[in-house]
Amino acid sequence: MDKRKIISAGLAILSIVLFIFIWYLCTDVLELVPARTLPSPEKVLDSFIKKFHDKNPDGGTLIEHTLASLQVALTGYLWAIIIGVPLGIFMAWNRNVDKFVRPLFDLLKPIPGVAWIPLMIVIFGIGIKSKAAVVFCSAVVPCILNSYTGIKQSKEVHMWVARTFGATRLQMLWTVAIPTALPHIMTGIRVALSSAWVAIVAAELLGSTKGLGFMIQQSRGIYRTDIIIVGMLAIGICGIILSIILSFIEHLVVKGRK
Amino acid sequence: MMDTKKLKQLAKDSVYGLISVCVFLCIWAFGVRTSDIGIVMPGPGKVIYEFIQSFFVPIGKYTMPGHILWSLYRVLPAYIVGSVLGIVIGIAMGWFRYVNSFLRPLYEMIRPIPPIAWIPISIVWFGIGEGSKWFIIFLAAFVPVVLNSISGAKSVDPLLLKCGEMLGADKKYIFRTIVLPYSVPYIFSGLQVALSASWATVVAAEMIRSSEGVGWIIISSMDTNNVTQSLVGIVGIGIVGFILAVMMRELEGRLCRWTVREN
Amino acid sequence: MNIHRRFIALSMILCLALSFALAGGSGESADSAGGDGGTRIRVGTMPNHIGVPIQYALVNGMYEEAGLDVELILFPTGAPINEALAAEQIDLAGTGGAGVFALAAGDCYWLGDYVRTSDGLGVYVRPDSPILDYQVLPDKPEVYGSKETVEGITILGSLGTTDQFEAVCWAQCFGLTGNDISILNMDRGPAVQAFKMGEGDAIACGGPPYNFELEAAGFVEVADITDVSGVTIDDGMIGRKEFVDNNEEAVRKFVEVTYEVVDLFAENDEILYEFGLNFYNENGKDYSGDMMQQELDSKDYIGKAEMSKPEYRFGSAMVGMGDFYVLDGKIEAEMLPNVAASMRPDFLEGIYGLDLTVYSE
Repeated sequence: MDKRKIISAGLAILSIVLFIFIWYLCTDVLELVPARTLPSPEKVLDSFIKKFHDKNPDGGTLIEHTLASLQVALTGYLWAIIIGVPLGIFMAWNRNVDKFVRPLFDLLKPIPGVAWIPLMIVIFGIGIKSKAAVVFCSAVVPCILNSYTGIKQSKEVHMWVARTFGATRLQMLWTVAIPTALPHIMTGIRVALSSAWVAIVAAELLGSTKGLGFMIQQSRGIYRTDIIIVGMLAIGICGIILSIILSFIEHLVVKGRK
Repeated sequence: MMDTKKLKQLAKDSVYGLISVCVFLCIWAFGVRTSDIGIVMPGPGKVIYEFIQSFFVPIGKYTMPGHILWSLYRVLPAYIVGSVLGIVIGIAMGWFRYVNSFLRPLYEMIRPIPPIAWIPISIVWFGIGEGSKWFIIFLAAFVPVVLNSISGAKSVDPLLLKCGEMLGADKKYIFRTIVLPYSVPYIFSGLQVALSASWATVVAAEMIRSSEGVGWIIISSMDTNNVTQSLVGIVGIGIVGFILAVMMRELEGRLCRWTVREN
Repeated sequence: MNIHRRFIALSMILCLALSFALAGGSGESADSAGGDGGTRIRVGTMPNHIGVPIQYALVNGMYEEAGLDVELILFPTGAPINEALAAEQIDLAGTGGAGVFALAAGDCYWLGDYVRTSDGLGVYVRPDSPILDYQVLPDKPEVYGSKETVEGITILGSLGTTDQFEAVCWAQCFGLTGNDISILNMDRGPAVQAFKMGEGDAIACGGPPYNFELEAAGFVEVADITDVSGVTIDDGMIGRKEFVDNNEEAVRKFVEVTYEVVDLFAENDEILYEFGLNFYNENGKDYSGDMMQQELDSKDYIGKAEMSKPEYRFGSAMVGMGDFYVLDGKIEAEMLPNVAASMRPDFLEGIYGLDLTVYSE
């Protein structure tokens, strides 16, 4: 058993080392690809570190851009949770609401968040508001969807028990349906987070003055592929950190309810 | 008898649906007429009219079906390649421990980067044509399919595996008759996620650089401040996205039923 | 039995996918040499004054006569032209200020300036802007603004193009840098629309027809590019080193034919008027006769006559902008020598029989 674990860890390290080695080989050593197409790992690392304090070439440090992106993404995301989760619960709980809202929701659901960008710019102008609205549009769908399925899947038997014991409908919702649905709701919130993060990158690529998407966009036309890759890495790392924080919260909430 | 009951229910549901859509359109129309939004937003009638019109009168170089075909042409090949490769690699990672340990770090490196963020670099690598779009759609499909295939292969009931082993099945046989069928539902939910991700990504890619496609319709509306055109594009994107999802669900229903029966 | 069928189905899907991919792949890789139409050259440019000479030569079959098979691809600005050059999807390009980034990256040559476009490039504000209350620069009386009014404003424009150049130059007049203003990246058409809708504090105009549109809407120019930068912007021709080195003869012919048209345009406004008006309108720019006339008055094509003048300096705009972008941090200092090293006046010297001096400080 232990031997297997060691081999596994060895393979994992090998794969990363191999990846970086091949990258290095293709760029710095053999110069198979020019730096404008793919800068060497050394250059990317160098630019990454430099970008923490260097405003060039895009007018902001990595931290500033990251904070700008986070601010907008989280604003839209929180609104999506505040509105989406109760709406999903309400839709699933109330049959009449379900019948009326569900078709409408099905109609709007397949439209990707990015498609709303031009319309949101027209309505809210180019600023935090329109981008937050785009994030909201992308993040609200999984929030609604998962809360809805969560409530719908709460076991009939539990409901009967609650009713037999004379619970009111509100009590049933609050003490039976929502706790049962909580894992589902949390999944929705987690999916929504990655949707939100995708949406902000798209919105920033299309019109902004700050943010990681903007940083990438500025570097495009001016042959700074290294900064593009730095931006991608930063986006990825932020995504990971956000989901770690969220799963920590999820752990607390879901466990606490049990 | 069952059928008439179902039919009745269906009819009832569609009436409700119709009413809700009508109410929505009425609110929209009313809002546009009476409030400030009317200055920038056209009413639903105009959008629907323009949408129908777009099937006959070209927007830019193509009519609406032309744009939709362009977008589908960008999505489907890359989606299929990404899915097939994703299933193969995902199942291999879920089933073979060492494959997993070798590929996992690489996969975890690409997983958190949204496909949209790859657009600029893919343009540098593959140019402004279709190549770069295929590449990012490939990523959009590949990533979720791998994830679901892994969990599919990992979720196989150990009892079944033990049974197979006890009855003398070799590894290959177990893999083919237990692991693969068991993973299918998981894989399909991955395929579903991947399809909507691919569709969203192509829209984004076309918005960032292209001269045709449904994403282009909405982004080019910004050139002339034509909000109606933007909404027409949104309607087109929504309808195609809806049809794709329904088709996938149909396919899943058929194939999964078949798998279950075979078991 | 069923398993077999499944595998067959799977392999069929795989084949289908592969064939799709291959079909796409073969369509992508257009080889640059060969074909019966002579040497194949993929040229990128914009549907504006920069693209007109190339389009004219193409439509009139002049490249074909010279044994060239030219494919013209149009882009909205110079930034995507850079991307296409980097991806080796085009070989030569008629481009503007964005070209300097391609030169600094070290994989393109500057083959010649052919049109001077200082007019119409500038920063515009709304008539009620506080910026209009200040004219504080003694040596640049035409330029509006002050440090306080300009700092922190948002300017709409296209990143990595002359839009950015003029905006940053303007900011620098007041002791600010490019990092003290925000540039909201948009393509030029949408930027004008957004500015009309009340977005941003100022707009960096990318030249005709947008300056006409902005002036018609009552906006005021606060900074002309020549006033704020001291550089005259000469747009011109750029080529990928690899392609130029391997196809010297074809490139020489291309330059020769294009400059034939440039010389024609430099002398004869009527042909340009007629042809340009058509070309712009075909490419979705609403041009009126008046606008075209204004554009003719403000644009000078740089042909043999201009180059023969003793004060003419080859590539002055590119070298000047390169210096500027280093100061502004957009180009890394160690890349700057690439700009001067990429000047190739020899093609034009051969064609015109002139001795050209490359710009230097």
